[in-house]
Amino acid sequence: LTALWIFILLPLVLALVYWGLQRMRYIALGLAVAACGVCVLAAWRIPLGTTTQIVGATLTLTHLGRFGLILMGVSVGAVLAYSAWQPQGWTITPFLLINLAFVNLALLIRPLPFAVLFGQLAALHLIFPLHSGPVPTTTPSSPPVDPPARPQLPAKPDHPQFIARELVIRVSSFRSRVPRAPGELRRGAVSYLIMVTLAIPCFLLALWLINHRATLPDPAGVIQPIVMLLGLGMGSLLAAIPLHIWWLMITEDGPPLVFVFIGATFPIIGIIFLLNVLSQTTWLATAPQVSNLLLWGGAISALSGGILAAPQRQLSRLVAYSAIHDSGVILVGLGAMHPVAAAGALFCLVHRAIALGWLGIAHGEFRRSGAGVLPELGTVAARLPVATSALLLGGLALSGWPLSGGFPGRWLIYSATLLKSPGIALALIAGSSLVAAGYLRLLRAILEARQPGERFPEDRVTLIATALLLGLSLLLALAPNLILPLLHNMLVDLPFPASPL
Amino acid sequence: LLLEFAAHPWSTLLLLGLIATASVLILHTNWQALLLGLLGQYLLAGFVLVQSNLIQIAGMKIFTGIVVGSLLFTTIQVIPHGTLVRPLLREDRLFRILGMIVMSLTAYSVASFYLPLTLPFGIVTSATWLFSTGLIILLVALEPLRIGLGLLTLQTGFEILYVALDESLVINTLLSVETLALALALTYLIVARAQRSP
Repeated sequence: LTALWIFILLPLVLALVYWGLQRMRYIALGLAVAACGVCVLAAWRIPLGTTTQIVGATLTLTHLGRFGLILMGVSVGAVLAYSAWQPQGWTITPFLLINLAFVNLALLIRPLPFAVLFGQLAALHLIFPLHSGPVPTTTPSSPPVDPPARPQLPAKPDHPQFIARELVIRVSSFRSRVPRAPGELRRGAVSYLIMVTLAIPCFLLALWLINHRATLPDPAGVIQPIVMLLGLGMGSLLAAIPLHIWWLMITEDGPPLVFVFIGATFPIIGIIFLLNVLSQTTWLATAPQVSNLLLWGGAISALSGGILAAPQRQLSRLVAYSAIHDSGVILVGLGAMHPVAAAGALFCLVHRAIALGWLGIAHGEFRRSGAGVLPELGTVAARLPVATSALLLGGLALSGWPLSGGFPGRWLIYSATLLKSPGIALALIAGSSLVAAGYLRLLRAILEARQPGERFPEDRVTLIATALLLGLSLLLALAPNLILPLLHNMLVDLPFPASPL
Repeated sequence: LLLEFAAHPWSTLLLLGLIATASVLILHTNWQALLLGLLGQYLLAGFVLVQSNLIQIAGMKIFTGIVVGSLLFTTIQVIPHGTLVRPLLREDRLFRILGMIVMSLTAYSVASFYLPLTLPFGIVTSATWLFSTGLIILLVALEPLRIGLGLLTLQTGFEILYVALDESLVINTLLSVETLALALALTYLIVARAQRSP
């Protein structure tokens, strides 16, 4: 029994303990958060290369595995700590702990098909917290808000601006226009379940083809199906356009902290898996098809995410599309096949958790106030200053706004991509500007709501969490070199060109 | 491919059985019939594996199917049955039959594509058929029970194919555990929907 078992057994035991101590909720939650802290500390302290055997497989701590373990521990710990003050349904703590145990196992275990299967097991456990918690309502729980009179878009159906905006909004929300019957199942949980079930076969078949390439009749021709299968699996996991419907659904009706957790951790798991595959198969990592798929797939997601985010009136859609844009940028960073861009992608991955944290906090507050659509959103925003700040900070950070923590990673990606493919770099910058424009529209709506009225009560914890995330984001923005060398170290096994920019 | 069907009468018979169970899963609205269809599908999938001499794994898959069926049956017992599956209109049935025909043609071409991989004939045809059936159920389903049946069918199709590619007992046991976890998640969604229905 080696120290690696701590990553699996500790969260599982604490999940059981939480069940036993439900009457002493705060003690149980404290223990759960402490367990996440222990996992982070253990990932930091246990030497790299530590191995142990499990039925037919090996657990090994690698650079990438350590990165994933630390991010997972911090994410689960942060969500659990916040859920102590903002309840998200009773299932969140035990199932996030079980999820942590299985994700940790997936990050450590080799061969990779085991990692895929444990990853699926972890993902299936998130159905329970995703479907629990308060049901989103469109009926305001707070005093009704009178929308301010503000200049409307020209209502002429033949006006180009009118047509363009209506088109984008209808395309981006075609599924949500289906009327929902009272008591109908939350569609987010179901679409999430479908995504998980469909993505895993893609990964398993791709891995089988990789492992048996030499024995197949046409080893060179097999690269195309491998890339297609990996692309489908990764696209589903990262909610890349057009495989993003599940992500739109869960942002619409899932508990904010849970969808933020999924949005932050799925890309971590997916990208670590991809980097593990590429580091073990040099022939695949150097194949132009992989680079092209990541570059073009990422660019399409980044640009479409921006185009669809900019005109959104609905808060959940704005959050969803800005996260999709960010996933696209991360994919382009990996597709550039350059150590600098890849480090930038990992940097964005770290900062994404912070930005989504802000958005999750804000989304929860707005949902409780009953406002989710412009222009009501603007009126309510003026009464929720902390949540509004979190929303704007998170949105601008996800768009890579200068001085936000999202900027250094973007800068590295833009620099490397400009050399390789200037058109794609411009598409990323255009996408980022459009995402920023979506949040600035919200700011305009707030400024136009001239009658702020009485402030809604905001929790002190919301303020503390927002300030904490702001501190972290500023730290990353002003001192990116604190983590960039560590991120570079994680990429040593990848067949990138040796010289940095 | 048509000549292959004539050369493998047992595989053809099993495939016909799978087509019958798929018809039940796609067209029936009675929950008992749907569960029986699912159970029959698991049994036939097990026989497909037995035919390819994968007896140990076949036993495990049949056992998994029985557990999944029991889980769903037990869940349905504790909720009102009125909201489980909505009744189908005549146009709806016609659309589903058309979908089945399109999907069988797709499965036929996919199976022809995979035959060069030298996989057993019965496995390729059954796996592609199950995968197609799962997709069509997912396309037309609205209720969690039927969506669940689609996902389980799809998973069974993939498992049959993967068993032929990788006979590792550990991996296949893990796949069965995934199926059980999926069934548990589905039971939760079925109960949750029943509780929220007016």
